[in-house]
Amino acid sequence: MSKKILLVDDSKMVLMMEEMILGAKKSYTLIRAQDGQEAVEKAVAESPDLVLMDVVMPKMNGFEACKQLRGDKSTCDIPIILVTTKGQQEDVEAGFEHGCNDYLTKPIHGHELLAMVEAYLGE
Amino acid sequence: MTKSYTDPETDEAKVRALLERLQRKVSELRVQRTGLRTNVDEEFVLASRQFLSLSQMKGASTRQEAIATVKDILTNFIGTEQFACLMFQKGQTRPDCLFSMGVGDDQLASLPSDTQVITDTVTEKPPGVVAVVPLRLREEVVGAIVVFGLLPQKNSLENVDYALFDLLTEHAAASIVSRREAIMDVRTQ
Repeated sequence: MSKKILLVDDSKMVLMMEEMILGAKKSYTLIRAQDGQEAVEKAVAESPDLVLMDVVMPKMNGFEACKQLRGDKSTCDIPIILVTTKGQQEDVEAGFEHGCNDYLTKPIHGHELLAMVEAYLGE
Repeated sequence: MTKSYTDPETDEAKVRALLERLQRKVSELRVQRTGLRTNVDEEFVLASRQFLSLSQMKGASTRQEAIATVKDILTNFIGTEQFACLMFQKGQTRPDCLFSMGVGDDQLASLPSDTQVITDTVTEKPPGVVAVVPLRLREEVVGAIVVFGLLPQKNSLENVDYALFDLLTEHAAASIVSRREAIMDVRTQ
C-alpha cells in the first residue's frame, strides 16, 4: 500500500510543485489542504503517514495546526514537516515548540524535500 | 610446454591491490551517481517551477488571480520578501504601485519615474534594490517589479531565479493587464 502524505499550503502553485516532486519519484497517495483548519480535519479523517505543512495560512496557521495535531490522540504521532518561507531562527524554534518534527525553508529544493520525506517514511 | 612459476604471495598482493582499486572506483562512481541524481532532481524542479509559473500566469482568469500568481512566484519560487509591482497608466508619467509586499512608502518614492530609467536600472540598480524586472507588453515596457529584499535564508539570486524573472518580463504584464482588458471588453459588450 502506498504511503499517504498530507500536503498543506494556501498556495495552489506550491501544492502543485510538491505534487510534481513527490509524484515523479514514488507512487504516494497525496491529499491536499489549503489552511490549518482543513489540515487538522483531513489528518483526523485520513490518518496520513506524514504531513508537509506551510506556516502562514488563512483561518489557522501552521504552528497552531501543529499544536492541535499533537494534542489529538489520533494524530499525535504523525510526523510533521513545516515547509515555509519563514526562515528566521525564532520561527524555526517556534515550529519545534509547537511540535513539528522538522523544518524546511522555501524556495523548495527537490532533493532536500525528497530526502526528508523518505527519511520520515523509513524508505 | 613450460609452466610459468608464480609466487602465491605476489599474486595475492596483486589481487588485493586490484580489489582496492576496484573498490575505490565503485566508491567514486557511487558519488558521481548521487551527484547526477541530485542534478537531475534539481533540473526537474527548475523545469517544474517554470512550467507552473507560465501555465498559472496564462491560465489566470481574473486580475486578482493573475496578481496572486505573480506574488506566489516571487515569494515561494524565487524567495523574495520585499517587492513592488509598478505599472504605467495611459497619460501618466509616474507609475502606479499595483501591489507590494513589505515595502515602505519611502522606498517606493525613491524609485525611478519613467520607463527608460526602469529599463536602465535592470543593469544599474538603485541603492537598496536587489533586482528590477521590467514588464513588457507587446514589446513595450509597461511597468516593473522591483525587488527590495530576499528571504533571510536566501543569500543571493541564482540562474534559475533570473529565468523566472525572464518569464515575468514576458508574461506577467499580459497576464495582469489583458485579464482586466478582457473583463472590460465583456462588460462593454
